[in-house]
Amino acid sequence: MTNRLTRALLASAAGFVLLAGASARVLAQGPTVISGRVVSDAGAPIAGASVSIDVLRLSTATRDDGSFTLTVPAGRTGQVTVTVRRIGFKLSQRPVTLAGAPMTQAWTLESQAQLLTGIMVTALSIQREKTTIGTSQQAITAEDLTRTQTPSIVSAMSGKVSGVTITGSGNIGGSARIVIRGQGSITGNNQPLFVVDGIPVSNDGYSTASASGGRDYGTGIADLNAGDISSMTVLKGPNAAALYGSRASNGAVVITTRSGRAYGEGTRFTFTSRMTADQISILPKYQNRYGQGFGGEFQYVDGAGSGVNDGADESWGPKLDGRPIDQFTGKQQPWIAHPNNVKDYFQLGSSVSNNINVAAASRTMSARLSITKEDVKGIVPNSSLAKLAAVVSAGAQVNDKLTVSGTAQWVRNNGMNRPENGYTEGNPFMTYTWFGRQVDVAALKAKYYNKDSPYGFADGSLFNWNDNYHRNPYWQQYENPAPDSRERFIGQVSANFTFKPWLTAVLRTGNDSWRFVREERFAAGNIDRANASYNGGFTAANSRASESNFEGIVTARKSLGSLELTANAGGNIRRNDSFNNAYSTSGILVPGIYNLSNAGITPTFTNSEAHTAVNSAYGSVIATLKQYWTVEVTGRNDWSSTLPKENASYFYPSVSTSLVVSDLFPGLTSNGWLSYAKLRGGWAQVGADAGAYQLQTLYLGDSRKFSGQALYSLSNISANAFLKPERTTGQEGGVELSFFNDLVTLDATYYLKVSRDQIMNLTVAPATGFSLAAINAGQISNRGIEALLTARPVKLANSFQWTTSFNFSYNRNKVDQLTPGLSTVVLAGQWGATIEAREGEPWGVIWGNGWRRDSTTGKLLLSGGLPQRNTTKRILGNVNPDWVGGWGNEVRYKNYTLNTLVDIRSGGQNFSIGNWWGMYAGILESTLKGREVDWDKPGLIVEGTDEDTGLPNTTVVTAEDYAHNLYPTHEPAILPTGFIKLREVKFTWDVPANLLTKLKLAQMSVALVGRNLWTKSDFPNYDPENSTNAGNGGQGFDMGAMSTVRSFGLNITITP
Amino acid sequence: MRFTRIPVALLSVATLATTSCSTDLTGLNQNPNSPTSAPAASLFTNATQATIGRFNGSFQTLSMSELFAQHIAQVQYVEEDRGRVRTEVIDGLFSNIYIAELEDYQKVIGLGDASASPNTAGPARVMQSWVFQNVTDIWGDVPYSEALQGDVGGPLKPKYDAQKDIYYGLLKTLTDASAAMTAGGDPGLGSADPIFKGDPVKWQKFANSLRARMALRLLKADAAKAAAELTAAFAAAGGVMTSNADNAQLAWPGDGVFDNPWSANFSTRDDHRVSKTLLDTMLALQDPRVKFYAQPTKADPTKYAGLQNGMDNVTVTPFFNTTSRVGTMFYPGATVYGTFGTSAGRKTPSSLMTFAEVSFLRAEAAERGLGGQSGAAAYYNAGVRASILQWGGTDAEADAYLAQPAVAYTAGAVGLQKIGLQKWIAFFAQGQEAWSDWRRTGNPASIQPGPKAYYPYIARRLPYSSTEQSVNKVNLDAAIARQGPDDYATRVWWDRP
Repeated sequence: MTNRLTRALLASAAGFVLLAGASARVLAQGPTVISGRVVSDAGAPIAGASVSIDVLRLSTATRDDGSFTLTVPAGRTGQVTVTVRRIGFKLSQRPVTLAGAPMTQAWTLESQAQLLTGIMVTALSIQREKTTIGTSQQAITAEDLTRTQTPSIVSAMSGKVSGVTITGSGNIGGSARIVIRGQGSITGNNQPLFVVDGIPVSNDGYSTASASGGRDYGTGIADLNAGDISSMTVLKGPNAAALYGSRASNGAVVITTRSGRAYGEGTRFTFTSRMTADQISILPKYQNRYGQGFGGEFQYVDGAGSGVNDGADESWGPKLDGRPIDQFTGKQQPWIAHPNNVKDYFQLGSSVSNNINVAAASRTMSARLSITKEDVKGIVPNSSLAKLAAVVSAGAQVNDKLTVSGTAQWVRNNGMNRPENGYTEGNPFMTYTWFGRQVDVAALKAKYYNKDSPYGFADGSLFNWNDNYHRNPYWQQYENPAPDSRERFIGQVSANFTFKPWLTAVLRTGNDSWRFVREERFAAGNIDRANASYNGGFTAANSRASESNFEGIVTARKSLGSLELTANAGGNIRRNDSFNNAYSTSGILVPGIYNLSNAGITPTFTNSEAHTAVNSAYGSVIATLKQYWTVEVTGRNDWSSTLPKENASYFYPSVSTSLVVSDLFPGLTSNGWLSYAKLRGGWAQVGADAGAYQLQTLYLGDSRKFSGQALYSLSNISANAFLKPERTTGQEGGVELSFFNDLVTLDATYYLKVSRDQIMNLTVAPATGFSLAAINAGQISNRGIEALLTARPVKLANSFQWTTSFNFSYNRNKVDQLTPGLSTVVLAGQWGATIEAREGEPWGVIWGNGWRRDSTTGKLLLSGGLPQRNTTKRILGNVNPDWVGGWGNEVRYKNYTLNTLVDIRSGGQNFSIGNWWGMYAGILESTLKGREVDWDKPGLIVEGTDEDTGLPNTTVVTAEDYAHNLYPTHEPAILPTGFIKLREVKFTWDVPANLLTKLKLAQMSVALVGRNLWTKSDFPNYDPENSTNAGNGGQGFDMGAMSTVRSFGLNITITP
Repeated sequence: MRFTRIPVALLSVATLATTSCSTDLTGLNQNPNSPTSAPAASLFTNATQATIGRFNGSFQTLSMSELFAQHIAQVQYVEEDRGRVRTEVIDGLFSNIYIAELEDYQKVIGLGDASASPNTAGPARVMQSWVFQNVTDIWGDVPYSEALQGDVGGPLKPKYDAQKDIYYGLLKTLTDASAAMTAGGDPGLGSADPIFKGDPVKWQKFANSLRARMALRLLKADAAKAAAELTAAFAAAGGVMTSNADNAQLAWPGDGVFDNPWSANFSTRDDHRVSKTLLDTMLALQDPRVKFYAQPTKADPTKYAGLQNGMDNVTVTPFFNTTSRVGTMFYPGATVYGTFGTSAGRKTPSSLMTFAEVSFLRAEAAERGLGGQSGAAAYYNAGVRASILQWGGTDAEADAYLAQPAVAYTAGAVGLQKIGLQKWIAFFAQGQEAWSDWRRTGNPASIQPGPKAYYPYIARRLPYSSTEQSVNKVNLDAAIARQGPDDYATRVWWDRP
């Protein structure tokens, strides 16, 4: 398949070149000149229209002002047909009689379908006519990105781009994972490359979150301010991204920032203010009929086991009927429900973002300065994020040969107490999973210590409902602060040389560097992380990284009659450096001094650095015939520092073609319903290198000494000295159609992406002495359909207009092959369940223990009235959605605009640890089944067959026994993650012109916005969207993590 | 002007392209953080502390073997005490043993052999054998002959060896390692050896003693091999342990980083009490070690009381303050729920094998007429005394204890029972051996499943690591087919009714 398509494409490319050569052979026998101007039906000049006399194989293109000059060789006389064509306009033909004398011809073209045409910023930041692009790319407008307030521009893309799946966490400044066309790499990076103004920028995750704890500090791309972006193009496959090299094998997101020239000459200030109020969007359905304890009993003495079940952190205790029971709030307190105890813990968050920017441009120079200040107050107490960002860009046309430009962005994020996602105290939902439903959270908020003075808790205890395993959740937030700070600088300068009208060059250099400091402090009295013999502890980490690129590209453009040729050749030098330091101690001496000099226990230190470099040379040739047929061939060679010398150089080619069928056969559009049709197809191969230092098995030292003795151990990763580059091959074919003059447009693509020779750290049998072994093998394929359907069903003369669009992404992923003898790769594991890439299955199946069932009837096999765990594991689910989609609507009437976006994800499962333990601990409403009357009445009769008797089960069990029997069987917690969310609603009022004049403003708009307003999902209790972090290992488990935030707000934009 | 600018720009692009091609970047890939070789001494220190931290630590002992042996009972979160060890605990235990210490010992052995230093390779072989013995005693058939070769082209899915073959292999390894180590030979590990400070004679004694332990374990399954190995072990050059000074123990630094693992657990958790089975036995015998093993109850500071094993959350809760916590020598002083003992508890040594055990081995061999041993009573008395002294008791306490008719040695079947009982008491905090020896001898008979135990029997082994179903299924299935169902009831090869 691959080879045949390749051959066909190469053959067509070769044929094209021959044809182009033929058309260029024009005999010159003394000229006859036809000149003129082409304008649109609206009177605007049309640049780039082709004017041709096909019979004479003569062709030229109009200039920026729409003018053209076509020279007919002498000796040609008589009547010929002149054709003027421009994509987006109806073809126009007119007979002209050649008489030897110069003549003037004026043309007016009638506009036609234009939605699928226009200029697009594509790979290498080259602007191209969309009609000539042979691969699937989708542009997102600045308006789309900034409609509502989102933690990052990745979140803002959710539901708006076909072929793209976005998963995020609900945390303040939390990370968002973006995957284009499915998981192409089994264990490696699956996220696209981000390029800003031609310079790759890091989207590294800063997250320390894992299933067992750690915090989600977001991903790098969140540092970009959506308001400073002028356009964004998603290059969806290896085809589109062939020129960007290795890191774009998962696609690329090409971002252009705003320049000072956006509004033409002059100076323009804009002030934008956004305010939102945030609340938690999804809370578990808790039960409110039984309090803390086991077996219907509870009495508090010390919260650590001395009373009756008072060490219990589950809710199987007495009925909440108001009976007096000793509690942490005092003796013989009424035992009553606090239905809103968890809800009340979450506060109303807010986000205030103000931006001021000024754009100024003269004829030859432009500059823009933008400053954004954003303050987010989290919904979890004492959590916040403050962001300050400044962007300055400038450009100057030095003379008609040289243009220079540069951008500098600086961002600082100061975070406090970003919530934890994993199975840990810092995750509020985990705290409230192991919980007594009767607990009055207001009492916990009122004081943290039994004695009121901080650190003076004379009776040695914290004020808490449970002193066994849990912290007072407020104490956790206020006494264990976790501050972080990140600074980022992204800068680039470029120079454009125009040597000849047809020959230009760009030299560009850029740097992206960040520094990140995070700390976690633990006050005395913590049950972990701080040694009880000391006065607290802390951990701190300090990391920085930098990427530098230096790039040069020469571009030649030549028109040979109706054939336009563009050739690019360039080179790139990339260098990445990163440094990490971390230190911690679990024991400090003087309370409150979180400094190493105050350590009572030998601190632990780690430090490391990593350096990689890739040099590249690349080139492309784009040939367009008569504007409607384009063939593009690219090639790139990389030399990487991370591969063995003999494998360090690798080449990868691509070819793609685009054909505007409606222009080739104008008759197709004559019946009026089809207005535009384009076919495209491509084949590409992308290579990828390894991470740093994967070639040698290492020994790892330990800063701690054992009675003064140094410690070393062999790494758990068995390295591979013979790694070779990974290869991803992508094929795609697509169609772009417009019906009834853009009433309906469709952009659809079918793709097949196959990745081979993956560099993976395979989970191997631990008896090898290693947990992972570096392997260069395997094949994973993704095939799918992505489509964007847009319709404008209503467009009335009174300016009422409704636009609706639906994007759809369907991806089927399959692990075709691993290395011989191995049938699975374990990607992550929790509580005995694993997310795996198993041969013959999709990437990311959930592998774990189900219930034992009768093989013939499928009924549960029970023993003692309880389902029994099948110790043989099997596939229980699949983390990948069947399809994702987004449905956007825009209604405009006069100065009012209403935008809505519905985000849809269908299929896929999670191992929901939040639901699993929520059932186990008896806190969820669903655990009331079987204790409707009292804690042990009426009990449950589980439907199934008794294992011993073979008869239907009749044994009654308590709800508590039933729930406790769920562990350690994973099956009951494998839950569907599909959802429909009302993601965005925005109602905008553009202040009308007459009012603007009175206000002395150039422009003003006011908008009401809402985000995540409504969710429908079969996923119980928690947010189906959650993942632990943005990495591969963060997928498929939910730890009862934070839900996404529902926000309501106001946006005001003012331009004086 | 124009003619110079074009070539300059083109030249820079061309230079860029050619630089790209010609520069050799490979040198950049040299890891600046971690070496590709490390000193054997540092590997050994680390592996040894890791081994003992694991096998005498909270997961292996407090969540498993000490509960099975009914030295300890759980007073909260009683899942394991009811007979089910958490899957992820089993998975982690199995994986980490191989990945961490077993592999590191393998490297020390390689380095020792390469530098012709039997006093380096020898201790690593002894420690590795000790770990393998524990591993096979826990699970039965496990990867052995094909294990630990993941970085040298060995199988990525090592086969599971039959326990018999593993035992035979370990006995041979110990024999050879013991014979190769020599006093006054190469300097060996020196102070990097946290157990014997590089004393090859003590390592020899440990090797021979361990060989005797393993030989006796085979008594029911392979009597001939057991007899032959016992005889050879006791006769081997260097002999076996002859005093508490020979004990294979790790002294914990107690610096807050490397603490006695029980004290680390008890500093933040309060889930354990001393088992009723153990404490009832010791109290009945007026055992002088009670005050070391246990603390008086919180409810009544004049009283010691054990906790019944195998209860559920509801039935166990009334016993929280009325049963004895583990002795203060296992507490770090301050804990999150109160102060117990002094910080010296962090330094309490952990034992791999003691002179007391060796004495009981010899007593049993003598009673059975094996291994060329005779005089069971003397060995028995020496074992009891060594244990009492080892825990901090006095000779006078030992004399008084041994003088009691219920303790004093009597030959024959009763003698074997008394040996078993005293060994079980002496094995406190060495849960793995206590459990294994109980499986072999059924002694003491008072170890019975608790009232709310999940299974009507005490575990005979642990189920295999569940991750093996993903990473080594074929070999796992073969082992299960050979050994029996993969549950707690299946007996390992040496465990015969």
